Amino acid sequence: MNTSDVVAMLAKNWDMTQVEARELLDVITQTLSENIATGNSFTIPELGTFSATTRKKRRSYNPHYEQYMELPPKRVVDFNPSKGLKEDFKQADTDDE
Amino acid sequence: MSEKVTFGELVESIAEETEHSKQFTHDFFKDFVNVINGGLEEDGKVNIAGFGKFELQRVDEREGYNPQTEQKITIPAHNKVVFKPYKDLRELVNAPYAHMEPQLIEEEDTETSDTSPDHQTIDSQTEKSHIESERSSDEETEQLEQEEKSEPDITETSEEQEPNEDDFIPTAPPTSHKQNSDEDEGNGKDQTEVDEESPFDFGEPQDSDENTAMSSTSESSDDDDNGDIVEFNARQLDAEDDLLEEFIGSEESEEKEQQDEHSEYLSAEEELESEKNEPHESEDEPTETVSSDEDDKEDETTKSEEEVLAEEVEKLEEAAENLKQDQPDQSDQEDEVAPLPTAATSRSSDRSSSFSYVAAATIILLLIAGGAWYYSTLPANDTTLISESEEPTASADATNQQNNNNQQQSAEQGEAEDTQQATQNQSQSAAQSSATTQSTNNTTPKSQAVEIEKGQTLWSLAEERYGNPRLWPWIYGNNGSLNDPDLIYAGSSLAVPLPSGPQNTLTDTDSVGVAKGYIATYKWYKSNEESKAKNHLWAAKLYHDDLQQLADVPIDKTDLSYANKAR
Repeated sequence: MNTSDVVAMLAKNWDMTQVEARELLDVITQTLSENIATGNSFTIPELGTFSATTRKKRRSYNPHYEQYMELPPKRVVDFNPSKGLKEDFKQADTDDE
Repeated sequence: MSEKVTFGELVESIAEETEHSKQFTHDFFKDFVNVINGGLEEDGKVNIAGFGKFELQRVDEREGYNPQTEQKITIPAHNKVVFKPYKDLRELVNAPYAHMEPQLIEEEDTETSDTSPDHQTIDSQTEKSHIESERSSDEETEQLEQEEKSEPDITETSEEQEPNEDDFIPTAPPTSHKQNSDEDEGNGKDQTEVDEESPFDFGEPQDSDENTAMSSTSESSDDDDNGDIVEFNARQLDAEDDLLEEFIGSEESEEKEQQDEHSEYLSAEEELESEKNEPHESEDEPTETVSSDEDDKEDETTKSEEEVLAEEVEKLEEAAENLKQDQPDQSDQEDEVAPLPTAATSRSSDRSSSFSYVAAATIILLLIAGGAWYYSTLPANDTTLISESEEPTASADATNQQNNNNQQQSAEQGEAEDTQQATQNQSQSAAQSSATTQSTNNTTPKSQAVEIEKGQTLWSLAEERYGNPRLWPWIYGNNGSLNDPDLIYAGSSLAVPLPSGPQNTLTDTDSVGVAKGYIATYKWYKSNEESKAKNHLWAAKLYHDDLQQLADVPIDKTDLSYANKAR
């Protein structure tokens, strides 16, 4: 399922044009992105919790060049699915794959 | 930072933005979540462009262990929901560290340095400064430059320091030292030693040119650093001690040669003075340029060096005073008369105090040679300065008058250098503190002339140059000659602006440039292809908040309100 599917569905549910739905969706994702980027964490009911965590800098070894590298720290998005969502899909179907 | 935002607050801010009611936004958001859930259920993944991808990931059955009952359990295969942020979001979130790149660790003792506290502290400090500097990109460049200078320097000194000190101590009592009695050769040897071991090899490029020009006197082209000078002096003084002891047992014939040079005694002693002073002054310099966090460490190293130096200098002074007592006449007459010293020397040798005389003569010779080397390797700023510094070597038996001149000039040089350093430091700190003002001052971004190849578009050009094709209006805006933004001609040349931030990031000024570019394209489309126009204004809004201020013509109201939806 990709964005246009989502947009189409939302537009249908809310009786609006797809353009409008997409605009609204863009604002939502934009707001979420910005909140994550500023380091805020938030929980969306039935979906999960978003937050940003910082990975420490670390040393790695490149076996090809036989060199050690120091990788800089990194800030990444952290997503924890909510319990409901987790349970919904946990047993979901192992024959999925 | 890191505060918890409730769902209600999110809905509120979205509602404000979209000018919908909170209730509607809330319901819409909920429905969005439902759609995601539905999509996950349906085909296991949901892509949200520009945000991320929700996906079901299968986890195979595995052995686990219950920490409470301490029993092995089998965790059955299951699915879990993962969220993979898209590139845009990843980069947005990682923005504070975006300018940092993996760095090669080149020391062979990687294991030890891994645990060494020195490295850890320095690294964490540089990190800190990185994070502090994230706000203003201009400040960042400043800091980066500085760190590039100071970082390798300090890490290396911390390692090289110990071996160097070890070098000093064993050579100080020189019983079987192979020091050449010929002072020129000895000097040359010292130089090469310094060259090889010198950890400070970040000489400024313009110096290397000048130094090659004067390579006749100085073999080292890189050793402009002050720390190097300190090291050299310490070594030099050791070498003098060595020579001194060797000369005590050496033949009388050598003494004769030295006597001629003796006239240099006083000026040379002045040189010694200036040498003593200048290293101390210049030693302050690295501590000033590095950030205050690193000061402590640097102080320690310089202190130890200073101590060694001070000891050596004391010794020399004692020897020199002995000489003065023996030759009161000469010291009275100061540096006016050249022939007198020979008389004085004959007298002193009559008194059979050849010991102190020879010792002093040796010191003088070495000081002259050392001084010459020192001045010749100073970071010279003009050619006159170099020629002055060359003189002492060229005219080993020059008159005292000349030496006096040199002395004054070199002292002036030293002062000039100090003031230079001071101003540099000032400007550096000023640049740091007022980085924000600087960023506003940099109104003319760098640009590069690029010839358009066949098949190239502004879009592809921007992608190639910036890694972000959406910056193409920046190029368009920077080239007033362009008319139709969809039409460029192969073979013509474009001035492509360059991002002034590190790692191809945009500074505030650059963003304004991009916004202006978008406004330019907006204007063109407005008059030629109306339907596309508002999207360009929308994009301009992304790069600059106040569009009215940037645009010199009034903007269509409906377009502006559309653009204002952008962030």
